[in-house]
Amino acid sequence: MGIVLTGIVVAIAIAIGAGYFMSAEQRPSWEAYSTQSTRVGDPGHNLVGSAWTGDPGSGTTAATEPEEPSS
Amino acid sequence: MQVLKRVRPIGPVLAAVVLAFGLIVAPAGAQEGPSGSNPTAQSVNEQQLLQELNKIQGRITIPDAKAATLEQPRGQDFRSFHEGALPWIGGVAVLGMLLVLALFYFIRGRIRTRSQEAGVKVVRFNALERLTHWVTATAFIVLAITGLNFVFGKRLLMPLIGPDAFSAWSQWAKYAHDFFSWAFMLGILVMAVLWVWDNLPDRYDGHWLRVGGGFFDTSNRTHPPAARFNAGQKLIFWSVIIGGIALSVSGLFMLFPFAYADVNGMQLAQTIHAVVGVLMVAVIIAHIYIGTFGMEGAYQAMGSGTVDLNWAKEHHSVWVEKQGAKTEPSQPAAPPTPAE
Repeated sequence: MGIVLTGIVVAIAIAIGAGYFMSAEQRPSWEAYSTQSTRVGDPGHNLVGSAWTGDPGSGTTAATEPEEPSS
Repeated sequence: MQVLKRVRPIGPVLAAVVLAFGLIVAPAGAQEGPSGSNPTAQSVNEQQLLQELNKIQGRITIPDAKAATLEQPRGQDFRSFHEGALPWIGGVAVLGMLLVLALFYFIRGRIRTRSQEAGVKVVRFNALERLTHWVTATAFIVLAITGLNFVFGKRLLMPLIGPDAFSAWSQWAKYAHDFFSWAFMLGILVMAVLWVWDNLPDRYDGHWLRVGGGFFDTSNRTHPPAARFNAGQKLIFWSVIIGGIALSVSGLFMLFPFAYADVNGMQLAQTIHAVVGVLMVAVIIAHIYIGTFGMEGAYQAMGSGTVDLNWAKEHHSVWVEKQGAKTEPSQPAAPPTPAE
């Protein structure tokens, strides 16, 4: 059992090391592809909205409907 | 001059009539060239471009060069595969393997060691071999769970836990998949170096395969001779090595997206990765079964590193003889190397 636990610990250690390496080497797409003229900033939340169901047939794709223009 | 004076009052009316006539006639005239042809109708349209170039592409100035591609029909094929064929392939492979193993267990039962324990332990795998196995196994289990989430998560898990929890879980699962993949790749590499020599085909493999390794003999009397690894273990080994290399290479394409491939290359890498991945999950389920519940004494080989001498004689008789021949001058009483 000791070797199994050691294997798990070593695998986690390699994964953490790889995580640090990849985080240093790569940037999120919203950051890598941003320019001065077109920038969405840190999305920070799910862009499709909190009411997204994931079902393309349900028609529920956005959290909020666009507001009616005030007349 | 008198004529001009007479015309002056109706001048604005005349101009308005001429202008109105011009506005009515001009659009029709603009569509036709000097020869009476219609250049808009004869220009290349989007469908023709798509047929000739196999994609609709423009020029952009933003850093994301791939955003210049507006349409590429292979994307529809990929989506059709990803949303249609792939879940079926994965479902049949994984559930089919579970069903086969369940049937095998209920018909054959656990494969037990026929002889009593000899009380002499034989070293089967050293510490480095076992560590490599368990590092790779840990990584593979994480990769399998998080990988299956990509294929089945939104269909099976999201209805149970809701979109918010599924989104958070999938994000962490994606990170785990990316980071544990390095432990898996390293493990595959070391495994190949450690065990490739013992997994080359030998003269015992044909007979082992013909009798099914004795797995289907309910009397448990069939134990075909095998060297360190029998033909079944060799099939598992080569499945893991070849499948692992395919997963590693296609996975590297995805770990560094669009660095080595365009969008079509990325979709091909994902297709290979997904198909090989679900097939490997099925193979490893069989490996886990036979290494735990399926065969008595098999887990000890990779757990403690040692097996009982009689177990080794039943399942790897040729290997035991070779080990005995190696150690005979120093330990004539016990053919294989006894473990401490």
